[in-house]
This record gives sequence, C-alpha cells and structure tokens, in this order.
Amino acid sequence: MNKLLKLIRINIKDTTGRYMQQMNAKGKISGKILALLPLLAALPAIALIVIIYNSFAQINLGYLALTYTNIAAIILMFVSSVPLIVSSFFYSKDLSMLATLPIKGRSIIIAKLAGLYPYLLIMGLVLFGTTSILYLNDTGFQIRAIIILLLAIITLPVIPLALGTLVTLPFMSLVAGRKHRNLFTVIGNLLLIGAILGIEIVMSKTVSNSEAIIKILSQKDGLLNLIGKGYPPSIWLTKGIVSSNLDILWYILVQISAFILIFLLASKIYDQALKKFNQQESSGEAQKISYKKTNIKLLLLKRNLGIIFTNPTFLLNTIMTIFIPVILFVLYSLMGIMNLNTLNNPAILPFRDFIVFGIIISPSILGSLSATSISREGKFFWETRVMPIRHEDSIASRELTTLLLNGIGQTILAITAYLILPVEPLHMLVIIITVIFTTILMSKVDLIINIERPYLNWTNPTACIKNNMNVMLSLGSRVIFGGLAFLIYYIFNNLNATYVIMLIGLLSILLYSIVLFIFKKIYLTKYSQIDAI
Amino acid sequence: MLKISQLTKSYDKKNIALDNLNLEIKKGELIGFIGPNGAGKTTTLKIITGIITSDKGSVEIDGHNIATDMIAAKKSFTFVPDHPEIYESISGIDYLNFIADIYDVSIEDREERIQSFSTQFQIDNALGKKINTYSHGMKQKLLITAALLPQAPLFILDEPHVGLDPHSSRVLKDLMLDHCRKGGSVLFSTHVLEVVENLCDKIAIIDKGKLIAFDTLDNISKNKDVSLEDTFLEMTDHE
Repeated sequence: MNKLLKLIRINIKDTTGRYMQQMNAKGKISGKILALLPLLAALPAIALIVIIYNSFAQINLGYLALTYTNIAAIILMFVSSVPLIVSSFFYSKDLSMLATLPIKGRSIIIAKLAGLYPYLLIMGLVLFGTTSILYLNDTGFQIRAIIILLLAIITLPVIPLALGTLVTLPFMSLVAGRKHRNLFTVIGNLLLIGAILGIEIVMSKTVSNSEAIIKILSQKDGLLNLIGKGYPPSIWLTKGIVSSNLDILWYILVQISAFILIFLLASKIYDQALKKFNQQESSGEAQKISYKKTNIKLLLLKRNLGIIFTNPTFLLNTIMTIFIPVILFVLYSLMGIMNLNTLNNPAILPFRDFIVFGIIISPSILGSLSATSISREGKFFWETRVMPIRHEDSIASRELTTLLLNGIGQTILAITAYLILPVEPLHMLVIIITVIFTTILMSKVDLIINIERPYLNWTNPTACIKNNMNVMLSLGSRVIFGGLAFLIYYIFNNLNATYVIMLIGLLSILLYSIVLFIFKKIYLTKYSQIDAI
Repeated sequence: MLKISQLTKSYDKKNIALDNLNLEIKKGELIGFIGPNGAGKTTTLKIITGIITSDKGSVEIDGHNIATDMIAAKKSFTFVPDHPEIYESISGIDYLNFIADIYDVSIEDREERIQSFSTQFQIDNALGKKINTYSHGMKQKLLITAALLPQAPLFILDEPHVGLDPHSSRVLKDLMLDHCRKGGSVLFSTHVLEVVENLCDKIAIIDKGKLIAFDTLDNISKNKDVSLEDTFLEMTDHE
C-alpha cells in the first residue's frame, strides 16, 4: 500500500508539474494565480447552473438541480475520461520505466487513474460543486447536507473513471494486435462519443415531451425519477441529501463497489491491455519503397498531416474539433430534433443565411489546430530547423494543414446545410467566401499564439493539445471576432443578411491584413528564434 | 544470477526477433552484450526486465521467474534504458526519492548514496531542478544514479555510455567493476567494443536474434593478435 501511495504521489506531482508548465506558471504566487486562469472558462457554465438552480428553486424543487448537475458532471467526466485514459495509459512514455520497477501492475493502473482524478474533480466541482453551494445556501448550511455533499464531490470521479476504464481498456486490448490499431482507437473513441451524444439527445427529447411531463409530475418523485433515471445513484444521492439515510447508504455502496471493481480488475487490465498494447510498439511494418521526388511544400504538408494522423490523441482531437459540428448536425437530423420543418420555420427565415454561415464556419471557430501546430511537433521540431527550408515555407505548410483539415469539415457541412437549408446560390457563394477568409484569419491568429507560446517539451500528447493556454487564447480570439461581427450586425440591422455576411467577410480581410503585417514585422523573426529541444 | 532459457520472440509470424536464446550470468560477472543494429539486444533486455513478454522460454533473476514471480524478480535488478524517458515534470531529487521508496532504501542509505553518486556524476547541483530542464547526458546520469541507488544484485544497462561525457563514462565503468567486485552482476549492451574489450569478463554476441557467441574475450578471439572488432565483424558479416 505504501508503494502504491508513493506511485500515486509521483503521478499527481508529475501531472501538476506538467500543468503548471503548460500555463507557463513560473513564479510562486503569480504562477498559482495564472494556474487558476482556466477556471475563467467555467464562468459561463457556472452562470448556466445558477439559472438552472433558480428555475428549480422557483417551484420549490431546488434539490432537483443537484440530480441534474450530478448527471451532467458524470457524463462530462466519463466522456473526458476516455481520451485521458487512452493518452495516459497507452501513449504515455513512462510505462517502460514503470514496467521494470518492482510494483504490481494493479498499482500502476490505480496510480495512473489517480493522476487523472484531479482533472475530473475540477470538472465535477464546477458543475456539481456550484449547485451544492447554491443548495446549501438555500437550506441554511445544515451539517448533514454539508457532509454528504462533500462526500459526493470527493467521490464524483470514481464512477466515471471506473466506467471509462471498463469501456476503454478491453477495447484497447482487442485492437492491440491489429495492424491499424491507431485507427481502431480513434474510430472506437468516436463511436463511443457518438453513442453518448445520442443517448443525451434521446434523453433530452423525452424531457421535452409535454404529455410525458404532465404524467410524470403527477407521480411521487416523478420528476426526480425522470431526471435521474439514466443514472440511479443521482436519485439516491438527492434523496439522501434531502432526508433518506437508506438512499445515501445505497449511494456510498455504489461508489465503494466501483472502487473495488477497479481494484479487482486492475491486474488483468495491466497484463491483458496495457502490456499487450505496448508490446506491439516494437514490431515494425515495412512499406513499399519509393524514390520519387516531392515538392517541398507538399512534403511539409504531408509531414504535418503525418504528425496528426500517426498519433491517435492528435487525430482524435482534430476529428473532434473539426467534425463535432458535423456529428452533432447529423445526429440532430437523425434524431429529428433538427428537421426540415423546424429549420424552414418562417420565423427563422430571415436568419437562415446567418445559420448556414454559423454551421459552415463552426469547425474553424471550435478548432484551434494552428494554435498547437508547432507544439504538436514536440521533440521533432528540430528537423525543420536544421533542414534548408525557408521559415515562410515551414509556416505556410502549417497554415495549409489547418486550412485543408478545416476545409474538409466545412465542405461536408456546406453540402449538408445546403441540402437541408437551401439558400440562394449567390448567397451561398458570399457565405463560402466569408468562411474562407475568416478561416484564414483564424489560422494566422492561432499561429501567432503558438509562436508566442510554443510547448515542445511534452511527454504526453494530451498535455500538448488539451488544457493548454494556447487553446484558451485561441477561443478568446473567436469571442473578440464574434463581438465585432455582432457589432456589424447591430449597426447594419436594416441590411439584408447576405450584405451583413459580406461585411463580416470584409472585416476578416481587414483584420487579416493587420495580422499579416504584424506577423511579417514581428512573428517571422520570433518563429526563427524558437529554441528546438 | 540471471538465467535465460530458450527465449523466443516474434513480432509477427515473419519477423523473428529472438530465436531460442540461452544465456547464464553468474554472481560477480560483468557481461558485455553486443550485436549489429536490430540484432535483438534491446528486445532481450526488454524481456529480461519485464517490459515485454516472450512467446517462449523463461527468464530467472536471482532464482525468481520474471513472469510468475514478478515482484521478487524485479527487486533483484535495476535497469537503465537506452532512451531516458521518465517523469519529466518533477525534480531530479523527487525522482530519486521515488525510486528509493519503491526499492525500500532507508533514509540514511538514500542520503548517502544519492550524495555520493550524484557528486561522482556531477549532477548534485541539478537535483533540485525539473528533469525537463536536463540535457540528454544529465538525464542519463540521473537514470544511472537511480539504478545504482537500490544496490540490486543485477545491474542491467542498455547502451549506457551514449550521451555520457568522458568523466562520467569512466565513473560508470568504475562503478560497474566495483559492483561486480562486491558480488553483484552487470549486463550491458553497447556498440563501443573497446569498453567491452577492456572491462568485461565475458562477451555475448547476438545476431539476427540468435546468440552466436558467449565466452571470454580470449576464447572468442582465438587468435590473440586479432581485435574484438575484427572478430565481431567476421562473425556478423552476412555478405
């Protein structure tokens, strides 16, 4: 047990150290403040939770917000745990070192999960912690409720971690010996996320069915049972907080069972998934030998794409950021939530061009591929540095990679949107041109962020692309651009939507010219000064 | 100390990495493990240390089977890999303390050994710094210090001299000899044949997954005027 604790301690220390490094948190006090900066991103979620809580509190059912946010936290943590487990278990570089130490396989698994625990706990704190404070404030901070809620918050990541492990590791064991195991990993993750989103949508559809709601309201604890039916422990927790000791016992029992399950399966997981998967690394696949010459820009583009496609974490992240709008769009259409009737509603007709523009531009708004394009290279960055390649070509190839990947997602979205929401061909042309210029602008802005903050010395691919200040700054730039676009809409609200979109396009061109000027003046030199490691 | 019997490993049916390898290292022996690139040296060391498993055969370390009595077997050796990939966001001293905890090294012993080895390898001033600020050579020295810390009977090293400065390379050679003099054993792979020639009791030569020689230098190079380099090239020449 002592060794397990030491292993957990070093894992958490390494995770925290990595996080502080990503945030460039160097000073003691300023570093700690800077490290808390990502919590600002949680402010909109906290504001939403306050609204949800107040809505329930108005009908004297404030405790239902606990059920609701408990489930939301569990789903969010579960979805997040899958890529985290894949990255830290299967693509982490410390495994070879750990495998030689006299530590049980079970301890390695538990320590690695413990390293992920803080990440998930923060997510849980934002969602469920906020509701807990609101509930306690409303009910007068009773000792019993405080203790139960504290217990609930601390144990919140246990079930998502157990579920994430149970889903991920057998799958990884299955694909371990396969030829295209990285591709299988990505497809498996996508299917899982698609399935979770699908379940969520089906559940929200049930809630929106008014007849069902009336029937449910007439039953005792009907609403509680409806909200919590997908995850019964949330019902037990809510009942436990309100009054029932038996229910809280059930809740604790489930948490303990989840922990015991991880503990019992850990050895098997280590031998049959982790070890098996990592053994395959040594085997090499021979490909056809070719001696053909390739254009240097194309070569660099292929290299950048290769960095993404050969690393499942990067690939999954790229697909998720680029294709999440596509997946959601397809899922919403399949589930009937977004259908021709709703979209062709006369009330939204004046906004149709804006909706189509919003749908097509979404991969560029959500994806920050260029913001980590230099960081993704990590320890391979030196390659382009020592080769006789112009910095301009190197940078252009990175932008081209982002534009190509964004372009694929945007083309799919444009075709689908055009079929579902037909707009005038000329309007569509204006939308597409604006999307192209805006995407080029975003890509350039992201690249500036990455040149300003390159992060090359990473040990875990997730550390490179997630929880990274670059991504947050990139999203911040989108908020500023969105604000300016809204200003145009606000000032010229008497103009036709196509003209407004055209003006947004002109704004993109104007901003791009400014950004390009700054880039050439400052960032080309800064790029040449990045220290390769 | 180390007994390898009929070790066989293939990554796919066509690519046999190790073919029925047998090797026995006794207490106090210093063994150099050499072979061309891709001959199977790292695969052998990875199987011995439990990083990967073999398809057939067994590995016994100090009487403990690595597959069936893993913890006891792993307590009997420490390993320095060819790539120094470890926790990077912690300090050097944190890493050494972690290793000392895992191998149950007492506070007094760890203090004395860490001070001694880190001073010898000239990394004592860097121990408080994060590992990701270390150079390749410094990481290598830290890994060697960590591997020496528990004073396990068997010391396994995969190309340990890569990245080491001449001073540290000499320190490592002296420490390996000292370890064997005290009854421990050392198995290390290398491409620097001079080190093997001057240091080792026995030499193991592997080629295409097969152990083609395992003996003293004198017995391998039957003609004393011929260098190990010539003998090695002759034995592994496929033309």
